[in-house]
Amino acid sequence: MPAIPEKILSMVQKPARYCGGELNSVVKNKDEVSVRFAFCFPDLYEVGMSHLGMKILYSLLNKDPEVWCERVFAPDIDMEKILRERNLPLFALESRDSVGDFDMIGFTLQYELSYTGILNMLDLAGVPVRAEDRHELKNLVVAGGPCSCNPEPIADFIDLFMPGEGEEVLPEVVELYKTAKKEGWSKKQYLLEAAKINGVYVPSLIDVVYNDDGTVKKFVAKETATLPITKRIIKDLDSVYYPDKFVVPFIDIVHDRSQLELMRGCIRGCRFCQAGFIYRPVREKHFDTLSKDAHNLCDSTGYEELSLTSLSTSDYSELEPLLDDLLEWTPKEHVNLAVPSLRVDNFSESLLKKISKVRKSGLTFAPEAGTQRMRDVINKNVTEEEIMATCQTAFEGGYTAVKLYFMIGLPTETDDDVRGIVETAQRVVDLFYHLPNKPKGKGVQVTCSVASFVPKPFTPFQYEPQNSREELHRKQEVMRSALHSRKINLDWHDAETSYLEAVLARGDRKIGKVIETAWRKGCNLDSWDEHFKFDVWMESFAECGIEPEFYANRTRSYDEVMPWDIFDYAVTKKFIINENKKAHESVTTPNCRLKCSGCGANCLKGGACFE
Amino acid sequence: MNDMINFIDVRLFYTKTGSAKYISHLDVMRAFQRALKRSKIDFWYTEGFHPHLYLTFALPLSLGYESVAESVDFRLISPMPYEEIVHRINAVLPVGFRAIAACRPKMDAKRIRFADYDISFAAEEKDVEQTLADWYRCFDREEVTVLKKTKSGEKEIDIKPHIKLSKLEHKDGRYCFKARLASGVELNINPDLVFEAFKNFSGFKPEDIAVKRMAVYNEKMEKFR
Repeated sequence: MPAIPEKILSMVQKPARYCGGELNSVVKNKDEVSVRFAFCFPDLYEVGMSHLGMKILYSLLNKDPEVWCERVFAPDIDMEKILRERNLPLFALESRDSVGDFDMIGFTLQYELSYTGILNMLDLAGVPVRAEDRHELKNLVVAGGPCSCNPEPIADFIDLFMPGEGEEVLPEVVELYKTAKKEGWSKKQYLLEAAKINGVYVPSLIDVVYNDDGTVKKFVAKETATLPITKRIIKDLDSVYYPDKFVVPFIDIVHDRSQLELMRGCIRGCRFCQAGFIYRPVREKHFDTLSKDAHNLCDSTGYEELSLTSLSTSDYSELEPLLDDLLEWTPKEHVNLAVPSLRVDNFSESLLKKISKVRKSGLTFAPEAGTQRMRDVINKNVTEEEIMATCQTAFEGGYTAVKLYFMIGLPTETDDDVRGIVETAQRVVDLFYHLPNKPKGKGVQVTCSVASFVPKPFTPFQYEPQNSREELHRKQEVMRSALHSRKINLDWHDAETSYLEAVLARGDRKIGKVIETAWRKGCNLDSWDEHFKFDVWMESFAECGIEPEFYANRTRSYDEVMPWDIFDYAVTKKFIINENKKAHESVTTPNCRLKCSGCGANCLKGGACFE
Repeated sequence: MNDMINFIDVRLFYTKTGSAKYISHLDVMRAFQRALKRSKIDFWYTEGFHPHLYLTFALPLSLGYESVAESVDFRLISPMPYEEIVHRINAVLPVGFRAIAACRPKMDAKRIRFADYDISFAAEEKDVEQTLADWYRCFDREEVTVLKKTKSGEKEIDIKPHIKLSKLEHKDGRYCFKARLASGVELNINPDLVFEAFKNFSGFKPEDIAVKRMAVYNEKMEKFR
């Protein structure tokens, strides 16, 4: 009997979020599998179902006939209320069984603001939130994904982390679980064995010792654990598993299309960008592999859109031939191509022609900063001329809306840099009106989306303080007063969210009790503005005697032990420190393809990144 | 321009049962777009700026209802036997949807006037005799007025001439009845309105309502084909 009575589905908004049965979802007989794995995304269905990593690992785990991987998402407020009122558990979509019935409960950590969601989902499943309160092997809680590069803030809640890429290590961890279950191991026995797997971090086997000032003094590995733990990567992307099917949702989700992963890593080395560092070294898929993947996905899903995904799509070395191939068959099969993540400096006219052939939509670029000096500091190797040239190409190609991404609060930033954002946007507007061959009968719309900078682990800016909230608010005002055109739309993320993100991103284990306190006081789905309760978070910090400024707004010295120093993410500390120094001197570093700067990441690959 | 192109109109009848009832009409349209695309049948696409597979559904079904009498129209650009169309589409439809027949459309969907429903709801602990009595007193009235939401706001209408209800039976802990309701573009009486009327009369809002559309008819009470 499923844990969930049918009728509650008719009592909620969007029941299709919870009813399962989507095309390509996998249903097995639970009596014929040895391990049941609940793949949990700590956010709503529409967000979680858009995530490529989950699609890959879901299909991969289900390839094993002995394993049944099911999907679980955070329920929306209305569903949660019904579950709690009627004392019903959180359930997995495929079987509608309680998550508490599963052997392994896995969370993907995509952003820091989803942490309270993890606690809430465990609690709804009737599973104790703290690892130490779960004594059985059953309900083993594991986690992976980008935020596991600093898992310390949630180390109290998770039994085992898998930093890095999951396609190899996750099946190894599941395989060990099969043995453990068959042989009746205790949870402790399992964790002791799991800690021997390359790239597995078991927090209960590592102690943290702090200095008097609250910074980390050292880590102590116990029993089978060793330090540092090296993240796992897939060496050869052409031979790694890629799903030929995606689960196709009924309801509209955030990214509702086939996604083709072109490469991992990024050659650029923008100093603020965590993805640019934690996914190193750069590895590309070959054009043949991609062409085959694209066909498979379009055939099995019926999606009307195919998106090329990577951190910087125009840096993919075989992009033009790939587009030629795709443009050969996608129009005939009524599939639109979406090509996000293009860089402004190598956005050629022929490329623009190719992508605009299928569909015209808005163009987005990320200059990230408003002045050249600031762009040099962050190593965003893009010049004003390149931005203007790209916009000109776009306008001449018929585009009239451009979206530009910027950040405020970057290291060394002055008010001139902040005003530079609006001034850059203004020059784009002026450029449009000075074009003799501008699109007729239409005005231009330049949208500037301005985020507040959040220093992240494993980036050269991991040592930098975040601007205080007051300072960020002031800078937002500086932008507002520099704005004189109605053709420019300024919108910014709120500083409070970025502040909390900064604390959680670079936090240590002491933050765990704050997360638990905030959750017990009602914080959940924090990445949604309408659910974010900043005051409750601040109350929780105060109650736990933790100062958030210590984590967000303090300059850290190069020799400070970082909470994430338990991990070796392959990029050397020497390189990171050197990049930080160069930032303060406004000196740029060339991209990896132009010249190898010796970050150290290629040791995982066993050779140079580029021939 | 369109008459230059030879396309073949096809009407597909299908059922929507089980958890597919939780898929809204808008989502059903999208699911069909994608399913038909997977079938690799040569469909006709619209010729606008954003070409899309041409699909029209006869009578939208409310979220939460099942049906064994759904239909969708599309166009083929090359002929194919109807059995093969049904077969190929069944191979690609999501769970809960099942194609049952295909044919050349014989009636315009504008001619739809009635639909039959099998309806049941949970029996409360309340007195069964009382509920049955209330039910008949409610629907035996000369006029059964209820507020109906329309595009131009709410309007009070008398649904009595537009509904025909069978006997209300009490079995296995549920009440069941059959309803023939006015349906179509001109006047559409949703089964919910029947319950709305009952609630207004008796103060009792039935719970756990199950509705299944059984058939759709034109003005001559011929089955919609």
